[in-house]
Amino acid sequence: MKNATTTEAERAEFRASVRDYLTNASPETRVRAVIDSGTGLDASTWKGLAADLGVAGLLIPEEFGGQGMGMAEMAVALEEAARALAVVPLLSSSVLSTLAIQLTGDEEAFKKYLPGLADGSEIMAFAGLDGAGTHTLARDETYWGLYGTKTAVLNAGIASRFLVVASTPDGTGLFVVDGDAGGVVVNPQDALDLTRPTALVTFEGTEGTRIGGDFTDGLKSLRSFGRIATSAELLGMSERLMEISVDYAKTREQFGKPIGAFQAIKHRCSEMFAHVESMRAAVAAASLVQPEDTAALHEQALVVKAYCARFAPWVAEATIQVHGGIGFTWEHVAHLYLRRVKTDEVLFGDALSCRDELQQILGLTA
Amino acid sequence: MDDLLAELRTWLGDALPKWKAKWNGDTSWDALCDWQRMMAEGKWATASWPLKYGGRGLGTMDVLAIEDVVAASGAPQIPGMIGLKNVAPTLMKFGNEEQQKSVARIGSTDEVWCQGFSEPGAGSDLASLRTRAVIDGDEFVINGQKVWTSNGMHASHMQLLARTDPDAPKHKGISAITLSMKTPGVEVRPIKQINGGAEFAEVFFTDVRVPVANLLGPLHEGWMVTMTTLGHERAGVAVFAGRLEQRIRGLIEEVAKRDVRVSPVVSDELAEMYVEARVLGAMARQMLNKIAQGGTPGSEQSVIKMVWSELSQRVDTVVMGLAGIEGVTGENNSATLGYLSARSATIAAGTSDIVKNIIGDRVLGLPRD
Repeated sequence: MKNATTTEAERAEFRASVRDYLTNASPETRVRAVIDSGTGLDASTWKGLAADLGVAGLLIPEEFGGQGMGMAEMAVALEEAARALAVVPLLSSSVLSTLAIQLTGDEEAFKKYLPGLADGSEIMAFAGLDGAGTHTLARDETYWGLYGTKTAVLNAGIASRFLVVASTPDGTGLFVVDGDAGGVVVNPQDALDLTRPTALVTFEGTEGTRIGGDFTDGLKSLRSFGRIATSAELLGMSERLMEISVDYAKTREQFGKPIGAFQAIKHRCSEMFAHVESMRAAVAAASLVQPEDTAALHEQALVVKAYCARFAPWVAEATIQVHGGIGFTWEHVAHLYLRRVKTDEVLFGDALSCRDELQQILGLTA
Repeated sequence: MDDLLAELRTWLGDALPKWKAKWNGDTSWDALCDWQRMMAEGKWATASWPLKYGGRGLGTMDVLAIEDVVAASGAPQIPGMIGLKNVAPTLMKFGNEEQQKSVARIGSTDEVWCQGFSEPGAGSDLASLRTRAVIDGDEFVINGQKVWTSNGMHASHMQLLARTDPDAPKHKGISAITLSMKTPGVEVRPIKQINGGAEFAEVFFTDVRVPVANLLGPLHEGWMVTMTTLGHERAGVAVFAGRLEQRIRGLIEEVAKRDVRVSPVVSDELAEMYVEARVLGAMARQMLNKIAQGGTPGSEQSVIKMVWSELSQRVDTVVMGLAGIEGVTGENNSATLGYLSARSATIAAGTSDIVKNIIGDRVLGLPRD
């Protein structure tokens, strides 16, 4: 993956084309219809985004069929997809799985897996988080046998392969598992986020293909990219929530005037704006970090996630408050955002845990 | 820009020791004015001014770089900032021949200017000011009161905003007028602040007569005249943001070096401030880049001002907390003074509450009350 290869103006143009596309392809009615269908995938929107707009391959080098770009460009796509609440596996397949493979440095794996990810024809799910009280192991039998349970596996139900992090006798390893391999049990979870289903995935001696060697550093970098990516989503959703709140404050009348004329509401909206602008600056700074400079990458990722994970939920909650009773109804879009915001908040660490790591970097704790 | 900064460093290496030797630790008003005089002679204090006024005609980014180098050298604060940054550019743009003679004297501190803007009844709502200037023949007759006048105790001259047409809507009918603080009927009293200092004055006007030729810019257009040049300070808020980021890094380094660990709650508060300072710094750098590329800062300036003021206030509150009992016994005077002084951060140059109104009204287009 490269650092930003485009100019700010080019990224603005790219944003406009993604937004245009999603405004038509993934309006709220469509999002709700896909949610109700239970498939967990808006297949036509995914095809349009992934193949036609080339979004799935942004982080993949051109020689493997991708666009050869970096996080600055992917952040734009993540912001826009989250803003539209698109039911697509952009984060799990095109960011986490795509980067996990590349962070192994295993050229054979690149050739084998990246082209399918690049055009979105293949969807992979990243299984990184061990379920409560479990620890996924890889045993060196006649093949690598995986044992353990992963939780919160995004888009597990639509993935054809899993990328599984597991402990090996010689450190952490990354394994590719075919979705229909023996001993894989996918149990859909009653996930808070209705636009991005998760599952509990259990491996009972499942055969995995190890790619690359020790994945300890790779996993650390992947977590940092995950923090930047979820922050970009949080920014995209916060921006939209602010617009929805401001529009409502302009038109909803109580006590004979628009509620936005009341300072209590006006100040809440102004604070939303301040937080959104701050998130925008933070995401821009983090997504422009040179990926090779891992110390800067880890630190910037903690800063951006600590900020966005704290204030995006604030914006989502404030949106419901500004709307009053209507904001508490299932029909209003606010809760669809709140659910995805709260999920992104905890993925790769919430604000408190990011600050905890920052305290170590800053020498405040041992 | 590298050549320019190298020239500046060489100049500072020569001038600063000379000044220090001459004043020997004295940081009185006269000593500071002497430093400004040297800085103006070197064309560093006046770097943003056009060549014909004795400046270097430099743009915002160059001037900010100069200010950073000067601050890092340990040079003292320049006392006549209001004159250099606000009044002189206004005089250059709107002043008549006589008024423009003051520009050079502002650089050298032969004249020290203040701005008579705020009034007891016109703080954040500056346009509701009531000090009157009535034309009587070829003179203005001025009556009223100004308050929170920075440098008022030291000033030789004032750029005054007074109401010249009481029947016009409040932003109209205001005129800008220049006058000497020695004009009969002008009385200046210091305002003692909660931190014990007196950086501001109240100024009273009783039948003060000045020539109509002292009008600055068109009659009744004082609001426009003033707002045009307030824009010169726009990039300044980004500099404050950068300095706050440095300050928080410094505070954390200091705390991390202590033998006794602070409580986890304080440690988290420091990390939280660090996060917000880093984000603020990123926002400020992006605004400066925009200016460097010829853009005009918009709403981000209000956001930076609001975030900066609230965060810098929080830092002083935490420093006060870290001082513990010594913060209230006078044993840690810098923490106490910092805490008291920081109360003004969310008041000066528009209270945070008003900034939120401005963002709501002008940026988000929410209905006015």
